Amino acid sequence: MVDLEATMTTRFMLLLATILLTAGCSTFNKAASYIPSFWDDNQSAAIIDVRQSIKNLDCEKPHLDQAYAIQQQIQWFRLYSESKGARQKDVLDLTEPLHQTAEDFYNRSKEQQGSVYYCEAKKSVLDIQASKAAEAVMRRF
Amino acid sequence: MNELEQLATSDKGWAAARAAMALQFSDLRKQEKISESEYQELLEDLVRSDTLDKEADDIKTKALLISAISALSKMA
Repeated sequence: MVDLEATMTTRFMLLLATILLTAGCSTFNKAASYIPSFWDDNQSAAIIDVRQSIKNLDCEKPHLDQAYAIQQQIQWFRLYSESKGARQKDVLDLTEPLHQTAEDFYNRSKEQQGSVYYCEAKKSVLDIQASKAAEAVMRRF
Repeated sequence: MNELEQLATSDKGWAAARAAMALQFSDLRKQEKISESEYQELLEDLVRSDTLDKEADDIKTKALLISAISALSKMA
């Protein structure tokens, strides 16, 4: 029974490899997009740094410096992931909404300090997005 | 607005949480505690959060798949 399973698995892998090798680059790239990224110590630490900065965001204080710190930490995460190679596309897609949310906060704070209510609402959204992203980044193999 | 109120009390945790936030933002706008552009930006953030949910679930599913395949290869 085990031998039959092993034979079937080997045949399947050989068939898959043959298809990928003969079907050309576009199919190969498409197939590669299904291969997930794996555990990375630096990404895990970076995403927790982002969460910590969001948690410590004090809406009573000037927003600009705090928004800048969050935006920079997300940028670091994304630049690092981008530099690691094509297989990191999943984490780049994952953090894109968080990046946009932080970028909007930073750009608004650059023009003028938003209201405390706006900042508190933004903090809730950022917190949800960052915790969801951290969960996905840290539960990889 | 009725749909949002219904969603806010639904048993789908994530949808209920998002709907509750949207209602909270709407209240803040009505009370003029946030500007119209701040309000629009926050609603966009909520829509973006759904994209993030899908990406996160995708990564978790792929991780599960890798784990299942490795278990299968150990059995072979």
